[in-house]
Amino acid sequence: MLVATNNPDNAKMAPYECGMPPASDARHKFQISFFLVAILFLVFDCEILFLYPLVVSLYHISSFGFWISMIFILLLTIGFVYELGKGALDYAKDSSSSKNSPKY
Amino acid sequence: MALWSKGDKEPSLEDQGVGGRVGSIAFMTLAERKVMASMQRRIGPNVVGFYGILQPFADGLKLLLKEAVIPSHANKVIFLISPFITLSLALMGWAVIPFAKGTALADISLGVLFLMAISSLGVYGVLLAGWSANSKYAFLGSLRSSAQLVSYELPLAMVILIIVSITGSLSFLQIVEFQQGVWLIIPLLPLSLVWFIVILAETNRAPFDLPEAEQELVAGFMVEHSALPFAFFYLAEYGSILLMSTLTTLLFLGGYLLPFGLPSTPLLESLILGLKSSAIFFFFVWVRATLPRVRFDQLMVICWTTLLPIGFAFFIFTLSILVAFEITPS
Amino acid sequence: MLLYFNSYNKFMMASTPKTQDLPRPGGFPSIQYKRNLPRRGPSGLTLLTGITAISALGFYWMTQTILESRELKREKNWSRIHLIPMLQAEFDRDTYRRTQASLQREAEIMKDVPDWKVGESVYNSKRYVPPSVFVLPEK
Repeated sequence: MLVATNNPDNAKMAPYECGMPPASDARHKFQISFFLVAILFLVFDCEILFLYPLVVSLYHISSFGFWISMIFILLLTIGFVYELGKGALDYAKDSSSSKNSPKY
Repeated sequence: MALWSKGDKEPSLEDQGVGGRVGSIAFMTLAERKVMASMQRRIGPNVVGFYGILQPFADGLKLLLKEAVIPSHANKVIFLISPFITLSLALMGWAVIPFAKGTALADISLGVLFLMAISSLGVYGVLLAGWSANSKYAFLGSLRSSAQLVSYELPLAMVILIIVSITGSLSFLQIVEFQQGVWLIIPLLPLSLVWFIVILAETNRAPFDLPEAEQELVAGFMVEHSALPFAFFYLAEYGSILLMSTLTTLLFLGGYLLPFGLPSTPLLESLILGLKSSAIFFFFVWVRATLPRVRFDQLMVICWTTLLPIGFAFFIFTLSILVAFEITPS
Repeated sequence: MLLYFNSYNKFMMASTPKTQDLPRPGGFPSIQYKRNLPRRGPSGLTLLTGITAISALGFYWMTQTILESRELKREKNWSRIHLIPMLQAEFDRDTYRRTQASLQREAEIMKDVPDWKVGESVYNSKRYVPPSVFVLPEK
């Protein structure tokens, strides 16, 4: 990088957009599903990380801990089923129903 | 060791580890091109060195001497720092990988958690690169890539959770030592299929290489990066593939153990680990040469409505068996 | 367009009896629009049974492994439990020898000081306090 040539010009430094000058700022709005994925990820990742200490100490907490974990998983499964029923992950439906939002 | 004894300072174990990793990553790129070429009835790189064996060094030198273009609209600091973040995170995971019995750089008892934390942080490099480039392709690519990485983190963690529940330990050495009895791919055969799908998606490989879908997004979040920053992204991608192959070997294929409990020496053990990892890497290339790319909504639906429920079901199943037969590992 | 066809039909009707293109006797065969992919490999049931069998065998081996590892851990714990009295006795013997040696050295060093009590406790209680510092022999 130090020995490399460096002679920039305006066209070279422009954002890549197939040769045309960029029409607008790149950081425009995007589909809400990406936010939904992030939020759902938080919930489920926390759930899985909470299960790690449980499985490591399963010998000591035996069947009592097992049933507690089953209740824990059941609660989150209810939430998961609700989320699927609401169509939170239905990318195809979202982009076709709202014509104005960009399709990715 | 004798090779280094003439110099002033002997390189530390960490230096040797990182140097070895980068070298093997470089040769992996060559291996992929050669294998792909054979599968498509081409010759592949065969000019530089014998059978093109010096091709990765030629490529690296070319990338080093190229002009690094920084777009005028980009946030320059973040733009330049994101490849470094990505590469250092991809190399950091090697700290806890045991190459033979008792040969890990840091044999910490929470190695699995460490590795998962490091692989989760990989999203930041992608996100920063796409955001800072201020290009629409890079932006969309980073959006897709982060959504994909984040989603497939869940089945990944789920599979590791099941393995931890069976072996009862978060240390890689203990997980491998457990497999002296049985390689975990045999009892967890259905789960290993889930795992193979997940590692393909987690490393952004075909058929899940949506972030760099050439037809739509050119090269995804690294469109604007050129020369050395691009080389860093390239190395990071192959580094994570190598890490995932080795992780698969450690978790499912008995790590550095020989089959049937044959006795071995440390050198042989690390050779065995390398062979098994290479086989998994061959699988990566094979899949890339065979399967077409999936659509983005299909990708998300596979993860959330198929792999994750399967993971949960198998977790409950395994836990039930462990508790019902009273064989929880102490 | 429509006009042209109408006049054409009138002309046809006038000259010849009305005929229509009909399917050939027995009709056309139904069109093959389904893909005819060959069914290769073992059937789904075979695969399911095979994978279940392999997994079941694996789970059995896994059970044996877990039981063995538990047994090894138990053995290790009990061997430690049995070793502790011996190790403790060795430690006590060593401590006593070192304490006596230290008392002798103290008496030798402090022999010129009047009313110096050798081995007097520095603490205010009479409880035994294990020594925290040992003097190692000089090489």
